[in-house]
Amino acid sequence: MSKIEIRHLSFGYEENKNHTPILKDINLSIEEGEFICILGPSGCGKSTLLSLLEGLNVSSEGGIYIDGNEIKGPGTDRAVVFQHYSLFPWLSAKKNIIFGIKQGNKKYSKAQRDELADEYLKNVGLEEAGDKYPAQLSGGMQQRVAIARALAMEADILLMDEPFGAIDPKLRQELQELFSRLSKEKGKTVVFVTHDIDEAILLADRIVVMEPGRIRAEIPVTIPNPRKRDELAGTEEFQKLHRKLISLFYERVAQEIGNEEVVL
Amino acid sequence: MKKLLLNRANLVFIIDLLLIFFMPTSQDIDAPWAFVVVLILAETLFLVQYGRSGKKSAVDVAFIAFLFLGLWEALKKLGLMHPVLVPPPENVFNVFVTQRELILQGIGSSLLLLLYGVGIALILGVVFGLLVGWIPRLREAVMPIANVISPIPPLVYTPYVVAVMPTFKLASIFVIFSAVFWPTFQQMVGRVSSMDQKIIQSAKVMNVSTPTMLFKVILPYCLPGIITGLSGSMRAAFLCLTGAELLGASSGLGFFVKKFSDYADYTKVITGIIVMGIVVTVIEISIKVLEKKCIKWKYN
Ligand SMILES: Nc1ncnc2c1ncn2[C@@H]1O[C@H](COP(=O)(O)OP(=O)(O)OP(=O)(O)O)[C@@H](O)[C@H]1O
Ligand SMILES: [Mg+2]
Repeated sequence: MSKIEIRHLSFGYEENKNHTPILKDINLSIEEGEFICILGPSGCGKSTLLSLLEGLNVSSEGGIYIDGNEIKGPGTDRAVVFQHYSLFPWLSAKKNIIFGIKQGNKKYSKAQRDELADEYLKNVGLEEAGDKYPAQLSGGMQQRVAIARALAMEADILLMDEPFGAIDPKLRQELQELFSRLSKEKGKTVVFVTHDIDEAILLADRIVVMEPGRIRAEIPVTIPNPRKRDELAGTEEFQKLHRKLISLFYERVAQEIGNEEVVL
Repeated sequence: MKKLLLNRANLVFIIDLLLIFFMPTSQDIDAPWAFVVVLILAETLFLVQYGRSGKKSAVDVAFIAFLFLGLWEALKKLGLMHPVLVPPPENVFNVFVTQRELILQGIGSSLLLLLYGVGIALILGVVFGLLVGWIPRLREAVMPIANVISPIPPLVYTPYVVAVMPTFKLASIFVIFSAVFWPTFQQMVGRVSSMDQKIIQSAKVMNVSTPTMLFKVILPYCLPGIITGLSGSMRAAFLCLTGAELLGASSGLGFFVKKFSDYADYTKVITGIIVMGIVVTVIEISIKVLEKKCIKWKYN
């Protein structure tokens, strides 16, 4: 049995129920320890799919199963990092992480929590910034704290919605490599939403390409880990994947070019 | 240093002292010592403030205050002021000394009532506000009723409450409570229902329980607003309290003023009014300090 099973999942927001649903009959299996990137044009329903995995939305048709149990709402088996950093502004970086530890599955003593929080801060290279408030940290640093907080919940599954979307390119690359290493080290199952093709190739074990409402293709990435962005760019394999993903997008665009909607 | 000492404010301060000690008068005036002490305290405060901030406005404020006191002194000594309605400043400040027990007692009793009324109102206002703001069904049921009751100014029903309640203390606490509870409650409901959804989402995905959501997430997020709103609430509370005290108290600052105005002793009435001003100012400064302390995260 797979870690995550999405079966015949359809979903539409209540506000526009009479319109076509946002997701139509999605099927996807995700294995334990797998890194999945969901790639697709803006508005195709990536965040919606993730919100269903998060349990913030619940679908009426079909279901999502984790270790065979259907998702009914948020749970401590999943940790989430949003594009907006979403740290609690009234807590210091370290206290934010401790909040995550407290919400996690395992119970720790106060001293243990303190120690763990320091360890997670160190994991993301912010051991010096523990006492700073989010407003005192740059966007990149905040996102690292958010990652540390998600890791601190010790959930098997990490759900990430364009976590590096708002971060400048140089720092983004650093964070991608950091996150790739950490998630592999800790054996996490990751569902990572992005609309950046290079990012998907760099991170994913398998790329799920979406088009509005449904999955268009699933493309395995067999480039061995760890991957370095600079080294990757020149390789044959990367080029091939890149072309393939681009063509998947452009085909879609070509189909729709007659209509008003042009995506990507 | 030169800037600190050579300015309009200090000039008027010196003139004030000269007026007090050397201006002859036919008026009957008390010993000037209390007045002099007040002037020196004010001067010290000014020097400290100006020395620290270096703001021109400190000079202006001190200048206006000293000018006012000097004019009051001079016009009084010239005999140009009403003999009963406008007492000399010496006498007014002397009351601080002669009536110190009654004044201190008054401050104590007023502050205690204020503490009870505001304390209970804040706690209940915040807790109910959290609950009603967070639970949509409760909000829809309660808010229409709250919207009818809350705009009634408590001063309007103060006489009635004083008459109905068994003791005056209970009555004032109730009036203060209603002056603070409704705005606190309504603002709280507003803050909760218009809260940043990103914060709510990130708490939800961490699978927080309802109490954690209310008291560990929403409450700290709203705290700055609550404390900022506090100074307005305190003003309203003080207004209601002194209003109530005018009606039926046997102690307190409002009572102090009322008692002496019944005897047409306007010297003490003015002293009482000055004391109230000082108390309100001290309360507001304390709230500012509290604000800076409690919400460090907003000021960085
Ligand atoms: N809360 C909501 N209520 C109603 N409709 C929504 C809501 N959120 C998203 N939608 C609609 O659902 C569709 C898919 O949105 P979604 O946010 O899932 O797209 P996305 O693939 O994440 O896009 P992006 O790359 O821009 O983040 C869009 O048409 C959007 O307008
Ligand atoms: Mg999205």
